Amino acid sequence: MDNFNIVGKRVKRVDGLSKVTGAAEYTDDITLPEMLHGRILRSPYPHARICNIDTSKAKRLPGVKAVMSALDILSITRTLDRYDGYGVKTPDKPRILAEDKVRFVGEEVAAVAAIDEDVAEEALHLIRVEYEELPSVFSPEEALMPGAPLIHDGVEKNIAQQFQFSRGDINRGFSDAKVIVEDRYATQNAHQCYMEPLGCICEFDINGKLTVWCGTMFPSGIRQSLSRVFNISESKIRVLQMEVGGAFGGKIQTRQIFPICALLAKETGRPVKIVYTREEEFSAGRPRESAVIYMKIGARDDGIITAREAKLIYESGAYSFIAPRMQRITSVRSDALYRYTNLKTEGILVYTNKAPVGAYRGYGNPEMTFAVETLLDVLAEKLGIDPMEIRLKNATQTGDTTVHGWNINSCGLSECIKKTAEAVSWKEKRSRKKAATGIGMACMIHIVNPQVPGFTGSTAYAKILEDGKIQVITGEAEYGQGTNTSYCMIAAEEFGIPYEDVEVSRVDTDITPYSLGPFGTRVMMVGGNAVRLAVADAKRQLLELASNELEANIADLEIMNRQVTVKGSPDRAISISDVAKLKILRDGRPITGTGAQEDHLYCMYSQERFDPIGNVASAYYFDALVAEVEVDIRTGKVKVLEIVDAVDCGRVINPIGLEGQVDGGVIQGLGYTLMENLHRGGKHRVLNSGFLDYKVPTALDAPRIRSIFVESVEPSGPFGAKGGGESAGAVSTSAAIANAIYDAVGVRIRELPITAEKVFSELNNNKVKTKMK
Amino acid sequence: MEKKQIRLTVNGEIHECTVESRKTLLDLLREDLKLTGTKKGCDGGECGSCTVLLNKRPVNACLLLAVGVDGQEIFTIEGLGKNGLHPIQKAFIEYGAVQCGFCTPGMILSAKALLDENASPSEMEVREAIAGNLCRCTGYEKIISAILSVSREKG
Repeated sequence: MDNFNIVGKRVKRVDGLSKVTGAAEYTDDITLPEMLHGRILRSPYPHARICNIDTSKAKRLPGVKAVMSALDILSITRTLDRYDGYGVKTPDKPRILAEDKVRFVGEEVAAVAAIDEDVAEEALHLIRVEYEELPSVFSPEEALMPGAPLIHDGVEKNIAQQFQFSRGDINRGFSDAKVIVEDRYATQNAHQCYMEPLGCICEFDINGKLTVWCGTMFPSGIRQSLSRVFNISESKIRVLQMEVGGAFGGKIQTRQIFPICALLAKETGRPVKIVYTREEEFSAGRPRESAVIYMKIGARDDGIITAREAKLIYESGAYSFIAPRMQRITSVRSDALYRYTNLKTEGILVYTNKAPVGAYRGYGNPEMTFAVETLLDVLAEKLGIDPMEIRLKNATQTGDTTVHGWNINSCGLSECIKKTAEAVSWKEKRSRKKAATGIGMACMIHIVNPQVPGFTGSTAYAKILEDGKIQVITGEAEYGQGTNTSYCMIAAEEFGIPYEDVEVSRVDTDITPYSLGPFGTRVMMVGGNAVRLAVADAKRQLLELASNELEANIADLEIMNRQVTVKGSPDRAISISDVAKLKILRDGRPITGTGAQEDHLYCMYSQERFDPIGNVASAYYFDALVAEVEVDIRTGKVKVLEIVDAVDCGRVINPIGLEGQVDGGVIQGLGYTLMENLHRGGKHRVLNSGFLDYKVPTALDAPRIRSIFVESVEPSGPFGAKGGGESAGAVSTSAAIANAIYDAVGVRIRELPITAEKVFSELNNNKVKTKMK
Repeated sequence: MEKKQIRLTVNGEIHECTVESRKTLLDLLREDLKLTGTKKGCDGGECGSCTVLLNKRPVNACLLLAVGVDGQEIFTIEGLGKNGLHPIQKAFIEYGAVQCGFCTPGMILSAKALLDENASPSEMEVREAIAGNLCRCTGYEKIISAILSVSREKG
């Protein structure tokens, strides 16, 4: 067991003070001189041709400084780039403002900048748009039917992508099986529901340089996208990161708000602020994809899986953005959970006249894991094997190369399963039945730093300041999940100074290095490695300087109590700050370490023909989660009593932080499983575009949550860490709860959310007896 | 639109403002008084991010008109911790009850209102007191622990 000074200790967050006092600044908290307010006009129809847009009346309203539609922005690059598709090509071309057609209720049609929000709102009502409604489709089944209206010209059957691949011999695999089970699973659109609506402020200065103030996950990406839109070089764009009020994937894309805001700023010559309303977020945001998954698993009578076949029918909404890549990743990711040999997977992504889907914690994993882990329980029951045992029998192990060629260098899955089972007294609870109460288990695997074309590493700098403190400069934007705190801990541990002596500077693309940001659970491992390398480099430089001053060999020096001392001669010492000052005042520059984690692993996801073989990520992490539920048989309402989640995160850097991530993941998973859904009606507009009717868990819904950390020590992670905050607790919740409901009342729901109505209906239709003691 | 003169006490300080009748207390605090610690999460009384104390009771500032609180006492997050952090603020930091921080000001004030009235609430009472403050990051677990720890300290 390693002995760390800071890593693994319970510390206070570096940004805690500013947040508990209300001092922390989010985008909407700042106001600039002469600032205007922008609002966006959105399509009321799911599918319509735009015949005419008349902005003249709106332009004449006093206080309005700019009104624009697609016709006013013909000279720029009007297509929102697919940069966030990370190289996967699809036939649609999303616009900044709709041109010939609108393809979903809520699509951006025009925008206004005015002296205040009320005038801007009024101006929207004065914009006259003539639409010619077109027939529309709202499900993959409808969209795929012959004769269905085409959402994108020339795109047959509304198919955005289609793929199929196999591993081993699927027919042989099924014929070797003693038991085969199959089912259909369906999941819904769910919104990220970050508490802070997305917003940004844009301003062009007199020299044509654009500054963007925003709270996002991908400042470098915003910069690149806007550079393309305006056809100006990236160096003329500066993105300043504000505090972010949650994101969970929803703030990683360059959504229309950014180019629209920048265009209004350019047109008016004044700073413009646009903040989405909560209604806009729900009705025109980019929610988690809805999916239908057909799955079939076969196993021998000892429980070893021999074959698995899956068909993934996903809806991308009107434009595809991240959906193609997400579906590709999803189609292979869960295959690393067990030692599969024979597989066949088909995927189809279909356009429908709904809001385009976006990235949301887990990125396809939740629905796929729901399907796999529920069906595995069905299989276990048919075989008469305990669900925990069947998982242990098939679990991936450290050192495995999985069926798709992934190198699993660290895997604590089996230990997670055993630990979580022990923590809930699994065998005891499963055999001793309490009326209408049950427990269920599910596991998951997630990827750390899934590859994209090109660079997927991270760069950091570490500067030693006059007072001996370290300033870490990284472009990996934190959005509340605790990255900066972890970086301070990693830096402190590496350097040998107190945690309080490190700070992480704000992300400012003029200064901080290019970075991909927190997606695919990458910032702990990849960003953390870069920080560690940068600090190690700074330390080396410091010790070199110190060795001259102390006239000692570098090998004889150590850092202790904010000093560099000669081992064994404590009186021969020099403070870190003195060495730092020496460099600054004598040589004119601070000691600056550079840390470059340069990953360029194989990227399968953007291949023309999707052929998933080869290691695709820096590492893989796992969890095993048990849910205990109580079902009210009179109403069907499910109450989650407790969740226990054992997470293999490699090494825990920041335990309070990781516990907090698991807590939050569990609640989001719980919401997704039991209550969240975007309901549509009328002309397929979202009906529940507010928190009153879009149910998210409150403090009254939160179960007891216990997390257990398994440290499999990832060899290439900083101090063995690989991360875990994204999916731990968030992905395996659905199947665990569904399995627990089955254990409690013998009812199996295969469609999310598992509402009381669904459970009640099953209980009464089947007249299933509640399991008694 | 007609403007009215109002006078309210915010964090112990008297403010005289001239506002349109339709202006919400939330917008008055954030725009006119530059007290941006109170957040706008939904502007419809559904998320609790704009929770402030009105005559010591927790309210959604987005659901009140500024003219409607003329002469009243408002307490916002900025009023807390001026002379050293309040025990609730310390506990939130200590227990890791803060992640993105957006719900935090409202959450702390709801907790303060509870503890000022009931110094040793049960866990259920804590959950009920913050049921109107939505949090998407923390799963409420550490927030509840933090609030309970303060109540234990107070006796």
